[in-house]
This record gives sequence, C-alpha cells and structure tokens, in this order.
Amino acid sequence: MTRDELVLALAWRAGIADHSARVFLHAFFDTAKQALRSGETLDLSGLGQWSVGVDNGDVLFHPIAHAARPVAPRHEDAQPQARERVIKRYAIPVAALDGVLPRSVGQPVNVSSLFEELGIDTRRLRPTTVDMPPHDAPLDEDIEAGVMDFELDGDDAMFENEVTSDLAAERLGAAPSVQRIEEYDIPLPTAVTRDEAVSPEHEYNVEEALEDVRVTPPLEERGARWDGEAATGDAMLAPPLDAARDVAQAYQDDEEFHRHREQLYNPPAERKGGKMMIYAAVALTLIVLAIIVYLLTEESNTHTLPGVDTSTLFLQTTVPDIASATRNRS
Amino acid sequence: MARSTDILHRLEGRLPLEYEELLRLYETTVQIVESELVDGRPVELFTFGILRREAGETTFTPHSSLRTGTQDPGDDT
Repeated sequence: MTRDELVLALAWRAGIADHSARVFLHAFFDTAKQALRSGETLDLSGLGQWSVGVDNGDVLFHPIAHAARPVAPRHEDAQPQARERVIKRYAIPVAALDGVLPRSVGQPVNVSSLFEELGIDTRRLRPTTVDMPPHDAPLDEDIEAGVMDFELDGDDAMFENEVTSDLAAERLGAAPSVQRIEEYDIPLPTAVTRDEAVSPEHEYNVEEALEDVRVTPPLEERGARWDGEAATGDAMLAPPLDAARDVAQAYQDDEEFHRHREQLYNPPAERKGGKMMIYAAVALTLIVLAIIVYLLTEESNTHTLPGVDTSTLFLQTTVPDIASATRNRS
Repeated sequence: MARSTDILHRLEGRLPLEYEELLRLYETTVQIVESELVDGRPVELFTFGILRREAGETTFTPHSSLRTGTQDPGDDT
C-alpha cells in the first residue's frame, strides 16, 4: 500500500476529504520522525516502537507483541477486492455517482451503460493495446464481461500516474513482466486518426515532393525577401508562401480564439460610473418624452403658462395691403 | 519516550482539529495498516518508512530521509 493508497483508504473509512487525510498522515509521521531524530524513543500504539541506536545512529524497530493479531473485518470490507479496486482506480467522487448508476456504490462501473447515456456509439470504439503495470491491470473476468473501470484527468489522477513513493518505485521495478490489456480509444470526428495518416493519399511521396519543389518559382518572383545567404537547395525546399500564410493565419486564428476565450472567462472590469451614465441617459430620455407628450396634448394648449400672457402670443397681425396701397398711390 | 498520544497532542497545535478527531484518524490509520499487514501487503508510512510482515515477523525499512537525517526531497504535501 503506497502513501496515496493509504490516503484514499483513510479518507474512505474516516469519511473525510482526500486532502485532509493526506495532511493528517503527513503531519503525523513527520512529527513522529522529528521526535525520533531528537533522540526520543517512539511508541506508536498498534504500530510498534522505534528508537535510535546510540552507537551508529541507526533506527531500531521493535514490533509489538500483538501485532500479528488479525483485525475483525468491518461491514464495508465484505468485498475487499472490489472495494480496493475502486479506491485505487476511480478518481470520480463516489458521491457524484450516487443516484446516477443503478448499482450500489463500491461496485465496478459498467462503462458501456455510461456510453449509452452519453450517446457514444460503442461500435466505433476500436480496441488498442497499451502496456500497464500488473498491479494496475483489471481482472480478466472484468474485461470479458465488459466491466471496465475508468479515470478522469484532474488532481486525483496524479495518484495513478506519478510514482512518488519508494514502495511504488520498488513495486514497478520488481515487476516480472508487463501485462498487455485492452483499452478502448474513442476516435474524435475532427481528429486525423492513425489509419488516415498512413493511408495512400496521405503518404509522403519523396519524388512528388521534389517535383513540386522544382516547378515552384523562385522566391524573388513570389515577392519574398531574400538575404542572399544559403541560396542553394535549402531555399528551394522552403514551403510556398501560401502555405506560410495559412500557417500564420492559423496562428492568428488560434490567438484570437484564446483571446476571446480569455475575455469570456475573465471579462474586463466594468468602468466606474458606467451604470450611472446609462441611468442618467435613460432619465433624460424619459424627461424629454414627458415634455413632448405634455406639449402634444390638447389640454396643454389651453393652459396658461405661469407668468406669461398667452393672449399676446396669438394676436392677429395686420398684413399691409400692398396692392391697394399702390393703387391709391397711382 | 514519545507515545502516540504525545504525537497527537503535538499535532493539535499544527492542525485545526480537536484531539478526539485526531485520535479517531490515528486509530483508523492503525486499523488500515494492520489489515494490510495481515494480508501480507507492505504499507508505506509516508516519509517515515515501510512496514512489512513476512512469516509473522514485522519489519521496518526506514525512509531515506530518516536514515541520513536529511529532509525528504519527495515531500509533496
């Protein structure tokens, strides 16, 4: 049992988070180590006694007498093999699977049912062979029954991939052979699969490539800048400018994508007073609209404005009769 | 002599846990270690060492930092 497995087992049994179990175990054994280094004799009930030799400073271990006494299995240890496998392999929180899967927690998960829920066509799955250490390999009967456990990338996945302990390194180093097991690879629609890459139309033909290079016009005719150095075969093997533009465009698109994604997840802080400006603009608009409506209503025309004699505003002015005046003058 | 209770009391000042909670975690750890040893599997006690039980005899392999008296380079927590 490596330190990671001990952390998971303690978290499982004590009902605490993995991080809390790791902090406790690390702090406990670190404190015990400090006590032993300072020359104290260490007596950990249930584990044994440790002391430091006076002559050579070696650590002496004295096992306790009743250490060989077997421990009565707990209720949840009814299927120790299956539970151990779940602890070792699954990085998905058990609580997240509660209620989702028809089977009880602690049992192996049937991946094919998850594929059906996710809408993945299992007929497209193609088996591949990978090398895995023996202690990570699933049982043969599980493979035959289609019951496979799985992992997710994340913080918890480091427990499987990293060999950070002496015991894990020792176990891997002492492995007599490497088992070959089957796993399933889901080909993505947009990805170029290995089969396509080695197909005849994608196969790299040296003769055709050289012919393309020969018919490619010189760099000067394509508007390229030329520094006069290495004007030999290396220059003729340079990719066409169109391809270079495509690559540059791809980089630009990629940068734009990341910039947009960054803005989506980390929007810039709103400027102070921006909302106040909007509120002021809306208030002014409403005031103007109210004035217009007030002026357009018939009642407003009949009312007298305070302090203004409206009778003088609509006086009929006499227009001089130019025609009669001219007639009289003549 | 430093007993396990002394170690737990020293931990009280370092961890935000009560003594009873620390004692419960320690007893659970001892149960796990004991069950693993009974099944014949070695147990790695973090940067302290590895406990093994072969043919009914429990042996202890100290961690490299405990042997040399140096800090643990693989301390990841």
